[in-house]
Amino acid sequence: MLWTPEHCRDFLIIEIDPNQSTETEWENMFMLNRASSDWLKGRLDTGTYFDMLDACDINPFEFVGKVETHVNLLTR
Amino acid sequence: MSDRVRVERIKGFILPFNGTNDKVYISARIISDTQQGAGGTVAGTIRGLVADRVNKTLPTTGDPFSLTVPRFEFAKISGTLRTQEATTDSESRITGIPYKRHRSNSASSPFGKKANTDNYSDAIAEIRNAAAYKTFVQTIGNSIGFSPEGD
Repeated sequence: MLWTPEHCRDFLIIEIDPNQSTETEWENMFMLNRASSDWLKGRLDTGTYFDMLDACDINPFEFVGKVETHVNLLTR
Repeated sequence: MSDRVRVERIKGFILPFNGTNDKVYISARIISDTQQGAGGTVAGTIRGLVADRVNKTLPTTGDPFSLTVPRFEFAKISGTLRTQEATTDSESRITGIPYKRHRSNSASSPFGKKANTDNYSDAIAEIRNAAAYKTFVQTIGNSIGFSPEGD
């Protein structure tokens, strides 16, 4: 059975391991989850969002690419 | 790698952070008290963390009412419980690069404020201080994430 989330944002939620994270990483998690929600609504352009991911050591193409593959699979 | 977990959900009511009063609740799907099958443990933990921020029934005082807003973006808490730690590498099914693929279950829940005076940052601070939260994150490999309410 195919699973479709209520909102695409669910695919882009970032989780951290709080036990092994610094306060900065914690803040970054909040920032990126806010950013992904804004990006999906067109309030944040792709360049800015990808730069934010990159600044937090997340490869944007890999991260968003996985979601893209999943969404393509669902809408094919 | 996260296992797809089937989390049992029930209808509930949430007071959104964007709201400016104690009366207007929005219908939501919240985690049920009873779970079966894979992921029941993590679903229970997440449910417990936000138990006082979701309502199974509308409060009886203050004349509250509820609205159904399709696809409303509630503030969301999401947690992942590592169920089995991988000790050997296996190849990624996407990139082919070997890595330690741990097994884990994850669950998420929408949440709102307890009362009008409450706000998002206080809510996060309170959840982080909860004993259940501290126990959950003590295990290495468990992770937690928060996503703010859409506006």
